[in-house]
Amino acid sequence: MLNVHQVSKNFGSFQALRSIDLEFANGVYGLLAPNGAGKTTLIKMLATLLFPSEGEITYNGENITAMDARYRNLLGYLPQQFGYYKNDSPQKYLTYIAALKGMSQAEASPRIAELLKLVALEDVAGKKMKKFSGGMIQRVGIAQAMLNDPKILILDEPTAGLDPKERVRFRNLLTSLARDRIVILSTHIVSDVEPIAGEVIMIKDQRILYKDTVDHLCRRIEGRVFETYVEHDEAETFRSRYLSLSEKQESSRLKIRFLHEGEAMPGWTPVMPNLEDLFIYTYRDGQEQEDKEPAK
Amino acid sequence: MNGLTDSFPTSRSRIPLWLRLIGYELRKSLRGPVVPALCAAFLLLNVFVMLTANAFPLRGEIKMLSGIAEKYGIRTEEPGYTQLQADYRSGMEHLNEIAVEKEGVTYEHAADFWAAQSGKAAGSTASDPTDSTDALPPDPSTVPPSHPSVLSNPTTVLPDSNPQNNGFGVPYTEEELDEFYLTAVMEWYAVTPDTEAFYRNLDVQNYAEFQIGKFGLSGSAADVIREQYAKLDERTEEIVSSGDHGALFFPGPMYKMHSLLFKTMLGFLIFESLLLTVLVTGTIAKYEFEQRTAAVVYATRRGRRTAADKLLASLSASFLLTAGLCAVTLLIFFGIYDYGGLWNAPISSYFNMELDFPYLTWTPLTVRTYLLSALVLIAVVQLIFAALSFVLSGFLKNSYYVFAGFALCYGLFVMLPSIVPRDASFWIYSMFTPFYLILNPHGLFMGAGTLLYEGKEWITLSVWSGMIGFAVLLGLKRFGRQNL
Ligand SMILES: Nc1ncnc2c1ncn2[C@@H]1O[C@H](COP(=O)(O)OP(=O)(O)OP(=O)(O)O)[C@@H](O)[C@H]1O
Ligand SMILES: [Mg+2]
Repeated sequence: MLNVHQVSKNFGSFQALRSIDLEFANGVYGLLAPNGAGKTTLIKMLATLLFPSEGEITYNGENITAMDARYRNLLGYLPQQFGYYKNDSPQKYLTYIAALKGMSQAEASPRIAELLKLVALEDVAGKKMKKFSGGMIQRVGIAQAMLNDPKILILDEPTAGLDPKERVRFRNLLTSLARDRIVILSTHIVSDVEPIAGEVIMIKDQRILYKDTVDHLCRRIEGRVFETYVEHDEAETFRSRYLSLSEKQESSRLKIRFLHEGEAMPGWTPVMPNLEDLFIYTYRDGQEQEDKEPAK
Repeated sequence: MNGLTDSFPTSRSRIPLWLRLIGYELRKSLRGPVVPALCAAFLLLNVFVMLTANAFPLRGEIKMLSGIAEKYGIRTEEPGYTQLQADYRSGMEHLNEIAVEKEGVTYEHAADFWAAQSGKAAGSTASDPTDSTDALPPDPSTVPPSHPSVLSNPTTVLPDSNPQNNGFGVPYTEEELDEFYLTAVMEWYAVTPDTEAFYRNLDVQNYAEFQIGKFGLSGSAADVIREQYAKLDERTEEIVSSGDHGALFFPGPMYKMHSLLFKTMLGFLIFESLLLTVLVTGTIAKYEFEQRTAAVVYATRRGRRTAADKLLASLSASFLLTAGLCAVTLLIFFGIYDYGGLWNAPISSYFNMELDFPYLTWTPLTVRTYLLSALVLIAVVQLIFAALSFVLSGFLKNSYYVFAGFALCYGLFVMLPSIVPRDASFWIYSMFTPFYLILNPHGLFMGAGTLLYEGKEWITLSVWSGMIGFAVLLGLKRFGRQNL
């Protein structure tokens, strides 16, 4: 059990996170928030790269800073800015990271072979990484995070640069991994977490706004999401009146999915809200300062 | 180097983990073309310096001198020396026999013969021994006695400089000239001035006053200088009673071998290894931040302790590069300049004196022991520099800043003596820094100039090692708590 107790993080006079309380048990957690919300800051604290300005983080009741190497031994971490050694091959690179993780070469080499296969890089295992595509690099990053079979796997925007096929493979992988470990992944891409996250955590105004299942979260705006068709010349007025969630061109008209609190108009079709709707609603313009919760 | 470290990751050998981790750090700094290219460039430069040294055209004579030292020994109080004088006298007799036969004249000294021959050779090229690059300022009170040697004669021309007519237009054969030359070389040792009187008459106290006046010292600064020169006076007595003062050496005024080896060569080596040390340490220490790999590396089990691996890797790399550069350079140097029997010649010898004040070492040091001590000192200094760069890297963003920070440090510490007041002994102690120490590698372990303090080398190195060691520990501790 990984716990965050009343954690704040300041960078000089700027407060990036304020009084965060979180609890992680085994399962997949999606950290969903727009750019600059503090996802990376929170994750770096969980990865011991940053120290909380206030509060503490514990694992099974023990402070993770005090646990030191014992904690990091349980940790697999893919940073958002994944730097690698350009002249190394994945094989060499993973051997090095395995050494940093305290693994002997005898332990490391079967594990590396296994992981290279898992991330579909066995064919290029000996090639220098400087010739790799962004997605291939990202897969090397995922492999290094999993080298030590971590109990806590933290991934900062892991799907960036992955193609749809890899994305699906990756999601399935996380689901199977999460059975007996904590998996925390941050993203601002809703579709990455919606299908797999047991719980979604949303940060707003330096605080945790929600930590709940996708279903529960979507229910918060149930009955307020509609779809309708509007003419092109009406679109502008429509958008100024209602919060547009998505738009699609259909024959000569625009199909708009939108949110409205109040009476439905004729011609509107009520639809099931999804996580993306909530995301757009939560982080809509003019809402940065106030964290007014939507009405129950 | 690359081949060796490249094989770490794949080899199945049982290298312990901690050693592998240090190996990985070493590999980060040594891979790529920069360090090997710099080493090659430095070696080329060093060879160039050796080949263009004033002594280079004279290396044949140098070999002759070391041969004489080997054959007769270097101590004037030993029987070999009596033999040398006897051989010289018979050589002189032979010279005069032939001279009478061919020119109808005799010479008192072989040097006179060569002076006469040189005078006859119009426009003969001469090397310039008056090149004064030395640190010791002239002191009117200690003018050395004049010396009747061909070797200190600027117009001396090697006998084989022009095999067609010997350059002299005189009827001597090659063999004769070679023999007379050897006689002249032996003369340098056989007809010595009264070296003992010279050492006893050295007005060391006057020299102290000269230094005090030159630097405008007063108060306890001047007192320390006087005190040290008084000690040097006692030490001079010891040197004379040990006989080191009269031992054979390469003639200082002509060859300046002490300056060539210890000032020029070691000077180049020191600054080359310094560049490598700071470069390699900066690279290793800041590598993860420059390659953006910090987040992965410092979140592993080894985590921030990787900094300790980096420290050890920096120290080993600095030591190995310094040792390698010195070893190769000195091997080439001693291949060109044959020291032969002079390896054991005392640095404090009269013959080693290049200007007007002898090199008086605080403890008996020979060429060999001076060189070894200087190399140990250089190695320790480089380790201190590596540690200092490492500490600086904790505060600076990248390896370029580390380089600049080190340069700034260097500048400040070298300037320190010129900004502190000259009336307190702190003025002397402000020179007790590794930066200052290595500015005069030919003046180590000896009394000379203002930085003559006995044992300053080991005082400086111990104090600085202690301070830097402490700073390194603080730096590592600080890094452990730092937000990355
Ligand atoms: N080292 C730092 N010094 C100062 N401010 C920082 C630092 N790191 C992050 N911040 C600030 O803290 C806030 C949160 O940044 P963070 O990187 O955690 O956001 P994020 O949610 O990960 O964003 P993104 O989706 O773009 O990755 C931002 O306003 C950022 O500018
Ligand atoms: Mg981020």
